[in-house]
Amino acid sequence: MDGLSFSALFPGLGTFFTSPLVISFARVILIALGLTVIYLGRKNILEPLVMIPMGLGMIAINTGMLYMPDGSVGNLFLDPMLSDTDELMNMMQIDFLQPIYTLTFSNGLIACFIFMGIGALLDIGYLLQRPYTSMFLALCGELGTFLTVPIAKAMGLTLNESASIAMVGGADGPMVLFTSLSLAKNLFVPITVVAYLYLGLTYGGYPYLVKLLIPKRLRAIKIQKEKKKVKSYSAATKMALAVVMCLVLCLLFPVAAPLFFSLFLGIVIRESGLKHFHDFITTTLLYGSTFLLGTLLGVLCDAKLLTDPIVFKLLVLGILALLISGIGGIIGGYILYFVKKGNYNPVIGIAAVSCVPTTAKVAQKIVTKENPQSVILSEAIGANISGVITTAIIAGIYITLIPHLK
Amino acid sequence: MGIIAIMMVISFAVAMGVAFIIKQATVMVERLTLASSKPDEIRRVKKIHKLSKHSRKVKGEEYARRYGIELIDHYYGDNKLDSGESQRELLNHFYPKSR
Repeated sequence: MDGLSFSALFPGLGTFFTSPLVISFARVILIALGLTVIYLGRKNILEPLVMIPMGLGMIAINTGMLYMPDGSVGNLFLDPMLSDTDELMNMMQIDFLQPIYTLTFSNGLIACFIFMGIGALLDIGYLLQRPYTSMFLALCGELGTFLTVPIAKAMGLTLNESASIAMVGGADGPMVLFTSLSLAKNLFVPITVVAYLYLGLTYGGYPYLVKLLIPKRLRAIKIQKEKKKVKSYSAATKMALAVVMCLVLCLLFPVAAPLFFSLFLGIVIRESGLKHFHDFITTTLLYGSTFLLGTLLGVLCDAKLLTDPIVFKLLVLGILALLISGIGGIIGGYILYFVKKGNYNPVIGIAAVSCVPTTAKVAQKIVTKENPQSVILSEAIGANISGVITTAIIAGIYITLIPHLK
Repeated sequence: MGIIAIMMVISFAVAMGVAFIIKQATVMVERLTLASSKPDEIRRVKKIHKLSKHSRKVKGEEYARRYGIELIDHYYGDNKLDSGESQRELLNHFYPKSR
């Protein structure tokens, strides 16, 4: 029984007292944050699908610390910083989440799976009905993706890091993961964690922004039917269009081709009528990937992450990017309101921020509250889908051009 | 800031280019679909011509009973003389195109 102390017997508790004070304090904060995230997820204030496993992951990683054979403090979940192949192979046999992290998360596979699921849920018919309006709105909803880059640069980040955190403005989790993996591998863990934390906030935060910037009278506008009848497109047309768009975008941006391919594969499966594939992608694959993503994001939130001074900058820049994008989308909505001489509801602009389908639902919910007769969902979903495409285009442009601009 | 402005312009150009491709490709695909669906239309016309006089009468009566108006009056209205269009409307009613 020699050398058996309280710390050795209960390392989870013991490490609180033997670690530096800052780390112990950060662990307590992250455990509290994990509890809060689970509570808010359960209350549907944050996205429960990601936030509940993420919250529990945060709690487990910050309580389940122990002393490693070399005397350092570690865990048996995963080590995101491993790069040596031999070490990685050894760790895969010890840390239970290491194989999933290495083989699905750090290579962007999980982002592609989620994109396939999103594609399989999208009806691009809404985009085909109004391609120019939807694309214009979506570009306005990317304002934060552009304007955050110089702000981040001014705050001391490199151009690659600035572009990666600015992608949060596109409100598309898989795209942020993919871009940061390509441009700022050193920061991709905190950037992705920050992105998903904030994306969960869009559902609760954007309604306040809309109410602040759009008066009640305009929020209640019911769009009068256009003289020209809105066409509905056959599944064959939508499928053919998805094939053409995949071809063009992969040709233009080969670096973002895995994401484009995944998105359009989902759309093609949906429209091709392959029921078993569609069911597999929209249920098992999408929910399985979302669950693993949430769990991994949670266990990546260890105390070292919070004590890194750059995380504070990322937190500020992330919320700024989403805020500017939301304002940009609303400005786009106002422009179309004036162009269409009042026959347009500017609330649709918020749906241009491509958090599919959350922002479209937010827009309809706000409008219904003011005027139950007003239905804007088809316009909102069109802008929402275009938002996914424009975010992928911008990711492609950033990943292609920024490495050449150093 | 200059770099960002250039990237904004490129993004705008690419996104609008994609919108243009979507619009043009939709028109093209629609035309192709229409052209390839013609035999189907002909098949449907042939099918209705095969219907016996009796079954047409039964269908007509059923329609009148359900909607309180003669099918021919409902669809032909003031355009009774435009037999080609009316015929197409009737066909579409009884044999809607499968999607």
